[in-house]
Amino acid sequence: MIRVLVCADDTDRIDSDWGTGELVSLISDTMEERGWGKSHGVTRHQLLIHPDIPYTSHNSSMCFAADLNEADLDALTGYAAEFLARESASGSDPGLCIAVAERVKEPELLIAFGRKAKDTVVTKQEACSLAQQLGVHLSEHGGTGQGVIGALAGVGLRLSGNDGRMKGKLKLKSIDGIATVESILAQANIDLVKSLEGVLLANNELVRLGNTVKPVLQNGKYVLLVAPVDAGDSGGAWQTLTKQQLKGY
Amino acid sequence: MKNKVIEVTVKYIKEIDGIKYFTGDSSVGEDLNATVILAEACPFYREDVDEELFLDDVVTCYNCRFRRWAHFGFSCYKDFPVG
Repeated sequence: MIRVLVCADDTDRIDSDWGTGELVSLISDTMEERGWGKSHGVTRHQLLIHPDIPYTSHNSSMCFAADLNEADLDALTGYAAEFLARESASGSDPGLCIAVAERVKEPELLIAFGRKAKDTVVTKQEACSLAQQLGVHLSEHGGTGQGVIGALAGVGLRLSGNDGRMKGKLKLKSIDGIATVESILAQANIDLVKSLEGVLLANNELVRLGNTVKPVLQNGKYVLLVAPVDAGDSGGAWQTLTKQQLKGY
Repeated sequence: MKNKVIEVTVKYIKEIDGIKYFTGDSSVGEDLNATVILAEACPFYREDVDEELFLDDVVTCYNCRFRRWAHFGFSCYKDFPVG
């Protein structure tokens, strides 16, 4: 098995009924249905908001990591490329990046590119040159192909293990909206439950589950961040973060 | 309601280089409430896809598919039609 990172960007338009995350999830689902590999979930990565960047509304890219049968790499690449070309919105500028983690020649350069795209305007030429240098698949599938920038950046950020939040929200079993850390870890693709200050919660601690149960990536692990319960609320010492609190991840 | 919308529009929506922006601060309750007033009066409001929602279960411009984040707030693809 090999570890691959698959990322797409700029596939939608303002009038689309879906976002890039939906298309990336569908690629991930198909990969599993066809027995090519096992997905480790789709994450969202925020890139720079700047007047010189032609993003649709929020400039984020969506990425998944997977353990893939080496023999199915070409099939996945071909499928993802064809799927994006077919399903992306008319007038969008889709880009696709697929990297085999252990084959990226200088992973630190890929991670640095991802971080740079959060702070600086980077060019398509810069993205394409770097992908070629590092041996990473980068392809455009319509329009200006500008989405290759976000796609490459998303792979870099996912590879860093310290950026992004999981797409969707987890539905966990609880009693009156409260679950132990042990129960949370047993039910979902979550590695750790931590406070915003970085304190690891013990298995027997109680967490109030809000509307959005969504882990973030920290040190390569899915971490469910929690905050102390609001004064006046009873039950549980901790609560999951709101969407607003998660915006920075 | 109409008066509130006008009040909010005058206070928060500024035109910069020909584009209108909501310039409030999403961490300030009053500013957040202004986006609720605008969204509730808007005929084009449409909730964005889940991964781009900003607040839980609130009709606000921050959750709308047609807001476009900017460095200092957001613009509106429908040009803030209620103002």
